[in-house]
Amino acid sequence: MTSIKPFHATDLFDLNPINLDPLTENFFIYFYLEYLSEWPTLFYKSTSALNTPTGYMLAKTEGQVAKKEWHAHISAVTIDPNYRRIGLGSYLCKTLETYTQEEKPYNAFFIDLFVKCNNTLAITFYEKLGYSVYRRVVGYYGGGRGRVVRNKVDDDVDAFDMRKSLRRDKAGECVRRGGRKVRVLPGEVSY
Amino acid sequence: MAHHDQFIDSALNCGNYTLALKLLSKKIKQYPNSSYFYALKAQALALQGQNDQALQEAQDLLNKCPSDPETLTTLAYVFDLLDYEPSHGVFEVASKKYPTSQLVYEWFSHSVRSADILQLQKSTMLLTKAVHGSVSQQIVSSRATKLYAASSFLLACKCCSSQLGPANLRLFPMLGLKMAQQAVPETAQEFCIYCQLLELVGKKQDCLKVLEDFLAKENDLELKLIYLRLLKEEELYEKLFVVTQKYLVNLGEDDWDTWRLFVESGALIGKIDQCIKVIDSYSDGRNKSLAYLEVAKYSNDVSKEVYLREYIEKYGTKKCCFLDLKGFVDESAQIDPILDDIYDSRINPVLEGSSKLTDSVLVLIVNYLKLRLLSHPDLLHSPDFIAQCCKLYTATEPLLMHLQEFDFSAGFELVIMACQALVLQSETVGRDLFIRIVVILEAAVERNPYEFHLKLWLITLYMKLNLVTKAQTLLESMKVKFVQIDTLSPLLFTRYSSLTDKDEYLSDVSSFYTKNVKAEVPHMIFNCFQNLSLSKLQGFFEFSIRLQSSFSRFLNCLERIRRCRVSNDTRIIENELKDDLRQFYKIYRKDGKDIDQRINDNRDLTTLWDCGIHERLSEVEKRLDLVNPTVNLDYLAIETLKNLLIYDSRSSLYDEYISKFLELYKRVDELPCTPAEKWNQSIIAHILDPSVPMRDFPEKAESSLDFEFNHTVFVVTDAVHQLQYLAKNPNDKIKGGIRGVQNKVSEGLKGLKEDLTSYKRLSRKDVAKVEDETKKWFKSDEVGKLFNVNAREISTVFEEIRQAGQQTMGALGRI
Repeated sequence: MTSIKPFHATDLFDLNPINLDPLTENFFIYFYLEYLSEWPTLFYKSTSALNTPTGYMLAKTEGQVAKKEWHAHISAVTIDPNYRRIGLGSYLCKTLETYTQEEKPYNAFFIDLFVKCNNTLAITFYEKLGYSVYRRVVGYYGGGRGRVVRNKVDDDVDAFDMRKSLRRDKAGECVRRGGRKVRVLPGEVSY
Repeated sequence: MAHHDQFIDSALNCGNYTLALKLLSKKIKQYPNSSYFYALKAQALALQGQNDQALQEAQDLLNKCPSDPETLTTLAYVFDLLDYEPSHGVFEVASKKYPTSQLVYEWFSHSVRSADILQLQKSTMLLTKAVHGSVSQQIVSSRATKLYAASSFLLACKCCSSQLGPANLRLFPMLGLKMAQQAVPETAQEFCIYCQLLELVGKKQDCLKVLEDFLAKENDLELKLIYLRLLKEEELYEKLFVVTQKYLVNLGEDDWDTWRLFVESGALIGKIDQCIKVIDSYSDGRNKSLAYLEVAKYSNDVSKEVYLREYIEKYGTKKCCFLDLKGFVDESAQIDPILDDIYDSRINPVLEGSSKLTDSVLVLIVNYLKLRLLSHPDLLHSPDFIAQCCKLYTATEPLLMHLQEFDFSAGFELVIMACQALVLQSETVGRDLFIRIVVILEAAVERNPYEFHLKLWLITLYMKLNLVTKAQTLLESMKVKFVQIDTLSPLLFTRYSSLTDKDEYLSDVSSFYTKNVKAEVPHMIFNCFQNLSLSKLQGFFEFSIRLQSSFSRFLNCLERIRRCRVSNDTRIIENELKDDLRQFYKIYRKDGKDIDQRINDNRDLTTLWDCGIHERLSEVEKRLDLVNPTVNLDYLAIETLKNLLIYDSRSSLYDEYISKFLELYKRVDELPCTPAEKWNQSIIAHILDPSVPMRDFPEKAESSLDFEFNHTVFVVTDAVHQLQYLAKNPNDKIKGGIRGVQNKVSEGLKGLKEDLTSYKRLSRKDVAKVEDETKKWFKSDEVGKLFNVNAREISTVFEEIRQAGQQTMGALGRI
């Protein structure tokens, strides 16, 4: 059983069953609180019948409307190991679509996210949800170590910027075919 | 305007108050109109213990109504040091005298930094006037101040209700509503505050109308939840039925809480048949399947058993199955025939080899056993249950070979359930049992290295085995950080300083509160106000207050004090840690219901038990607590008071410390203290009141693999240092002779302590002996054999235990 509820700062005390997972990042307090205060409706949780968090979505909006870059960005979506493989991740992502469609106050052109190029499970997951690769960000996960060269790709440190158009992107201008071949450097990804 | 002087600041920081006063007197001569130096003078006097003079200086200064924010902050600190509460806060006095927008904004900022909701309410209210009246460039818009004030009234009602009094409880929502109406709400966030205030003043019908109108334009989650809750509270079931159906069907929001309200309202208005039709036509999913079970609560026409069976057939291979069904399964054993069928048709063929073992079957097996245990909790007392857990674990072990990196297998739950049963079924609880469980869990974690419940259990057990370095390594492997420090670290640092002399970990924990929390949280609360994310404010303030008055924070402070004292470092205690002790006591003595009137325990004591039947098993917990018991608020209070009695003799609350300490000591046998701690407390009780007898000297543990081994030596050593301090810093409240007690305790310590070589020799001998016994148990004992742990695995575990044991003994050698 799953309900969607707004995330509140005090929920941070109850995230251990989710965040102890080795692949889930624990961020500084300010990071969570910044999302809550800047984008209060884009940070929400799924809960069990006992009202304990079973997963959460942490998203924001950014970009310029004039350039048709105004979009929602998924910063983190994560699920308690006990609630995996039941479509809860998809549910959280689809919920974000409903919050950022023509709905006030967001009304975005698209949703995007970054995923490591070697994370095939996640890539497949997002493809099933209608996302496609828009571009490869070379050296995105390299932590600033070493010189990043556009022609030197490495699935372990590169990210795919994946996107899904929303209704506002009527002509589908925010997505593209063959995005895997388009390469940019981390510094070129700014809004 | 404040003029900082680095020499004065350093003199104050390092505790040289005489020098600070000397420098301040020069500064005051140089800047006779600078209120800041007068405030610092009062601070230095207070820190030096010249309470009367300090209070006089501070009050004289307050009477002059200074308006410099730093002066006011310092004055507030001085009053706090002196345990004196002026009738009005210092910022309040100044702001009311000089209600400029800047000064009132400073008051507002001070309230945010200290997470003081009642001051926040007053300051935001004054801010509405200050900003309104000022024509200069505003810090914040007039409209925003009204929303701040409305939110603050709401916060005061929600978080501080027991401090408001009946008149303010009626008045505050009305004033808040007035502010919100004047601001004219526009966004969902603003309507959220407005609607809650409407609710509080009793205008629930108006509130429903506002919500309906807003939700028709924008489907906001927060407002939707208020709306549905209000419909239920107002018993508008017809409406609730229609609205929930709209969300479920028209808007396609497959939300469990909505389903539950839909079924409940349907049942109450006699439309359960319609509910069933909606469920029938809904797309497949867990919520749909569970909705039938929800209907079964209200209708005899719907068979609970049929839908339980259907659910398990569909979702039995998912880990969530147990948790989803937990609320629907009771001990009436209705589920037994279903589980029997599942076992016969899907599990047994796998065990017999006629069907393939897969990850899905493993999860089904785990769910099967968990549901069985849930409906028959007595199984934990049955040896057959351990055998069954082990049999199923062994049968599914081959899957562990194919575990992908970072993934973890559900099979660990079989191991933990077996270990929980083992704890209950063992004749004695102590070293041998803990070691056996450690070996079992280490073998499991080796094959399932990312499973964190196993690690949490191991940390708990290693602490009981006096192997703190092993516990620490495991916790570090889990990358516990930030908020997790508050929730999870106590698993390691509770009584940490009685096992090791290391400081780094305790200092890191402390830094989280002094650096991360202090720097990040207030700043983000301002952000929340600035963005008018008003629905989040309550969470932000509660979060801030819970961290400021955190149980873990104060517990860590006690550990640091013991560590410093044992290492003869009283400077940090006097200059830094004593403040935390005083802060604890100020909150503790309020003993109120509101969040800011109590110590908040944020420790995560549940994740450890989030396996098996996902409950804290009190019988198991009680047996585990026989060694290094889980501490509670009484423990924290008696230990804090003990330290305040030693270090805060100049406090005006000292008599209260004595009576509260003795009151708690009267029921010390009910408190979760170790024998050594009780003995230590008896010494303090005895010197305060010689009629209270000192307890017998604590007995030394025989084995170095026993928590009490280091713990007792550390606690006794610490007691010697406590007495030394008291002898050097006598106070007239201590009636008993310290010297006599000191001699007795020092003599006792001599009998307890050995040299490092002897400790290390003993540890080697102990580990070798226990290793032999453990190997024998796993090889020959009827229960031990079930776990299928081989000698190589045991040797590996013991190799690490041997090293950790030597490190533990090293700590004893250094004190």
